[in-house]
Amino acid sequence: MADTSVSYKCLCCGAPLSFRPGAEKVTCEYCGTELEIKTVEEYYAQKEAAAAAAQAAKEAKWDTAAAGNEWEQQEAELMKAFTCSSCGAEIVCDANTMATECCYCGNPTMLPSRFSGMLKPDYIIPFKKTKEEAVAALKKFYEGKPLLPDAFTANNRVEAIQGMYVPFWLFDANIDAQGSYKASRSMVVDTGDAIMTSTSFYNCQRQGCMKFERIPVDGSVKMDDAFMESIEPFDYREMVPFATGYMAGYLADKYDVDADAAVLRADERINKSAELCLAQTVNGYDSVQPENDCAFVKGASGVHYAMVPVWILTTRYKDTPYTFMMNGQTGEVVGSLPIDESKLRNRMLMAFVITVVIAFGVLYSIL
Amino acid sequence: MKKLLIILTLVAALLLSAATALAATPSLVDKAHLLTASERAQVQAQLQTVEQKYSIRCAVVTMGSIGNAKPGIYANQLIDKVFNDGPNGNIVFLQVTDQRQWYISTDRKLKDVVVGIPGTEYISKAAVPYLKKGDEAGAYKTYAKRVDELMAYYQKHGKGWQPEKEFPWLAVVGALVAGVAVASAYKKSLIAAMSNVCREVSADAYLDQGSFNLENEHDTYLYTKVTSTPKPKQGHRGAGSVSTSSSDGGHGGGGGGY
Repeated sequence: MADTSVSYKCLCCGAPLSFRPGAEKVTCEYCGTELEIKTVEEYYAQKEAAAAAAQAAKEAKWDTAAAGNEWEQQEAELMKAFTCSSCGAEIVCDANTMATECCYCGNPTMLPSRFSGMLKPDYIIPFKKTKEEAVAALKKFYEGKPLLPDAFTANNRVEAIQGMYVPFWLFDANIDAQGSYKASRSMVVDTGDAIMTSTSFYNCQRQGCMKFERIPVDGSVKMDDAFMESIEPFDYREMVPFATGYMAGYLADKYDVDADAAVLRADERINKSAELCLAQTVNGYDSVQPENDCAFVKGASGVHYAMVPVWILTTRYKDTPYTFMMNGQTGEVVGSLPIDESKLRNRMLMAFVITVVIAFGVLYSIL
Repeated sequence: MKKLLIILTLVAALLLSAATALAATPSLVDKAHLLTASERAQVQAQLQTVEQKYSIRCAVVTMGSIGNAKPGIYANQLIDKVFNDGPNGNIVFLQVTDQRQWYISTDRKLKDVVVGIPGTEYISKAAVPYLKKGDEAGAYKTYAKRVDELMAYYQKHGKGWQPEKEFPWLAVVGALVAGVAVASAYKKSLIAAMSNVCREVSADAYLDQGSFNLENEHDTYLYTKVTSTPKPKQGHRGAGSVSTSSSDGGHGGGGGGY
């Protein structure tokens, strides 16, 4: 049976290939052979084409068989089976998986049928941070957190750590924005007997154009949007045209939030920025308040599909999983830590007592 | 300097007139002629009773005018130059009718008896209301009575009378409120430090800063709102309030208007 997946193996010794963060080339960890990304790309392009064709054939066959199976059609569409080209085991993954590793032999595995047509990303930001750096960054993230339970750090071990390329939409837009602001200017006069405050109010209309470049919006449903926006920004100068070689050794999903759905979030952020930008031009007043949402019209715009590197670290405390994510390029770690309630209580009590003593001393001397 | 000369001249005149009338300066000198003969006798008798009981000089002086002099300084001069022969101390109640001012001055000894504003207020809060009603004799008799009480208290306790301090409820409540506010704010900041997950509000990081171009700006005047906040009155102290502006190291007491 033809392989339905492709393992990136060393062209010299046949060992699994992994892309090392920060490297320009793909290096075989076993024989040390260095291979150009382009070379690997071209070599496996034919294999991928063959594998994709084989997968298409298999899916057609599998779908037919599934008609009489207990799986419902919706479930079957989500669950796809591939054959590991290294050990021959069947790998089951969801409909969005582009790259994974065999759960039996650990072999990094690409699923080329997922790269076809519109699904192929335009760009990829390669991993710069290693697994070891991710673990070290997480340990550092724990530092200086006064409410962190002692047991959490003492017994803590990272249960799972996965490097993953997350699909993102990058929006470019030239916009023409219009905003309305209510501004006021006050004048204070001392008449001797009273303080007279005269406040004049104005309506200020502003219109301007501006350009946004590559606003990122998470294209994956299963990745928490708050986490994904917290690990921003990425350094786009290191973004390169997409090549599957960079994904060797990492997990990857294709998008399941399409660009039309993602553009709503981009618009929200553009709107707020435009409002603030125009508000900065309302000068000479004591206070400025936006009257309503800023209206903007998009001119030239563009959307790019990119894969960005994220380390996902999972740990457990009192049977509750805690997930942290690290920007695989910049090393920014985000997450929420557990809180030791007794520590919180003690610190609040201490703050309360100190404040009461000082405040009483001050008030007693004044009153 | 000019004021001081005026005061000294006035005090000297008072001293001379008193000396020609009596061998020792009487404890009641009614230069403003506010009292009748019988009232004068009653007040004089009450002042003498206090003076003999405690071996102090307890005087009352009324003046129609002291020019532009301050009543406090004038009263201090009376203590220093006229009423200075009390073995256990001297105190004088001065009333100036054209200024509608009063002042109680003591020497260093009685400063320990009539302690600060509370001690002066103990006398004035009882006596000054009589001045307002035009009952000067009642005011002076009340003054003598209150001096008697303060002296008795001093002899019994060995220290001047001080009002009992009320429990500082306001300070306690204020401190508790401040404590709750600070503890709540501290809790909020501690909890916030445990998570750095938050959604981005804007796309400022992706705005090409050089691309912004303001194309149109138009400001329209809408309306004006005027508010007036009255200033607190200054220099109009209440009739019952006491000023110790003339109190110094050698003199105690205080005064005010009526």
